[in-house]
Amino acid sequence: MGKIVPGVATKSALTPDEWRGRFKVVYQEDQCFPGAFFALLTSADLLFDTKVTRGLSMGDLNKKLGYRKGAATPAEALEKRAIKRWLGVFGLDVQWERESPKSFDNLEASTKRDDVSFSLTEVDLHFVTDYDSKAKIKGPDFSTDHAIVVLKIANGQVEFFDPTFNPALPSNAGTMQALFTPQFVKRWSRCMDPYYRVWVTRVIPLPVRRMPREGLRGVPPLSRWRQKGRGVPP
Amino acid sequence: MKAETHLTLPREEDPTEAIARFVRGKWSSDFVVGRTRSMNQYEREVSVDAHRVDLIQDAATGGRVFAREVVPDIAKFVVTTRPKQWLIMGPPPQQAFENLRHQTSRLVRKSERALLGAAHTEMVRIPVVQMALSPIRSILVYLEERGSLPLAELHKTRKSPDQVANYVSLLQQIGYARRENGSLVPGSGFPTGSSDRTPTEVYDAMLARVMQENYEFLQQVLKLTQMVGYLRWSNSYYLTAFSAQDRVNLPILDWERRHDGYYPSGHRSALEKIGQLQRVLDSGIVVKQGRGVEGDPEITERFFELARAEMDIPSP
Repeated sequence: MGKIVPGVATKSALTPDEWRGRFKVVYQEDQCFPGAFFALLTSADLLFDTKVTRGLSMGDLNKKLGYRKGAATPAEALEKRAIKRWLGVFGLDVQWERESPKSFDNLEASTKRDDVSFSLTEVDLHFVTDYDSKAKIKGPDFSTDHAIVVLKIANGQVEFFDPTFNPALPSNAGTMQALFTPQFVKRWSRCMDPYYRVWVTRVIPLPVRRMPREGLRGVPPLSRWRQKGRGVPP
Repeated sequence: MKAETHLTLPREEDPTEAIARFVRGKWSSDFVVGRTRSMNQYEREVSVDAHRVDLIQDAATGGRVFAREVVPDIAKFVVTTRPKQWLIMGPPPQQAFENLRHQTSRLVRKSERALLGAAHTEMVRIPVVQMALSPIRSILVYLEERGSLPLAELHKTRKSPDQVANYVSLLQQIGYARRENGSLVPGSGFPTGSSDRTPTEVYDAMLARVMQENYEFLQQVLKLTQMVGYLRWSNSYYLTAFSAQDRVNLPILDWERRHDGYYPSGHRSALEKIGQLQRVLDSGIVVKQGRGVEGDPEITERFFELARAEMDIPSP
């Protein structure tokens, strides 16, 4: 095992174009919440070099979140101890806040930090029609929430990933959308869980990979070049 | 016996709000408090409804339709007033989910009935369905050609006496035949010949009516289960279109996923599925269009009208 030292995060180094296409998840089993949580974990994997989403299917995630066929995931699914324990195995911790007066400031600040994942936020479902003129909401009128992942807040705009916006369709080539901040805040405050935000942090710092020392068992001996005393190969 | 849900609350808290928080937070975020009614001086009943959202992707436009739906009364909680607290008793979560499943399958059956009304003519043209209905067709042709069919003739076929009795009962019920002196003769509902339709069209129309009005009898009593798959595949598309209130272009994979969702017990092998899908497409009930499938415009219109009546939904 290598020595545990704080890792180097790279979120701030990624441009929006680099994020584009990284989130491959689309709406499954009629739920946006697991899709957005999967995107949040994808962001954590990219940021902290963990492998939570490797080999994790949406079915596995739904099971962990207590999803039952025909109904959406429980609202407090991410607050369950089992989720904390599971992420703890990867050295991660899940945290959340709701109804905080400083929510927007916190959210904006978190998109600039490189020690937290991008945040899952719940917004009112009508949010989808604010940024996508082709989206329609049909049926009886009732209030319902929609989960998205906020990627960046800058220049009066919020850039986000919506797991229901299917990037597999040619007309929806981009995975990231943007909306003016006041519109986003309006939909965020009017949802059933006002200002609900979930994010992931790295609690155990990244192990640094050291180069194995030559001469130890299992390590190849010095190269012929170096054996001849010519220093490092060109 | 599954454990009931049992909560106690201090009197200063609102029990209805507590139930809403509990079911949404612990069971499903679709669950909300519905009707509340007082049972007596100390007790009141709080119903829980499911507010579901179904996402339908239109492959042609790339647009999304979020179809909202209310499923009422999936659970009932009783709130009892105690001197210092509220006592809340409710069903276990499993029961609420079971009720939800039950109500969903009722909705699916209503939609099937509406679709039989809208597409029975097209459905009897599917070769497998024609084969399943061939004994009934033979009886109808015999009655048309010869005027009467001795019951003894029917018993000579390879059908069991019970099956023969069931066929006779079905045709009597619909008015296509009646018993007379040990024979079957055309009943009051038997169509009189007309020159503008070919015999095949006449028989197809008669069988379509048999199918529309006696589908459950055909399926459960006569065990003509071959036709079930086609109705289910067709219904999986039309019920989706009804939720979207639009003749959406549904990707084939979504169509399959929805079929498996509406009919969780009816899983078939991939090969069987492809065969059934193709035959439904061949029948013209659902047509392939670009990357997805669409409903026939006329069937869709008729189906929407009948489905609204079945589900008691006013026209838009």
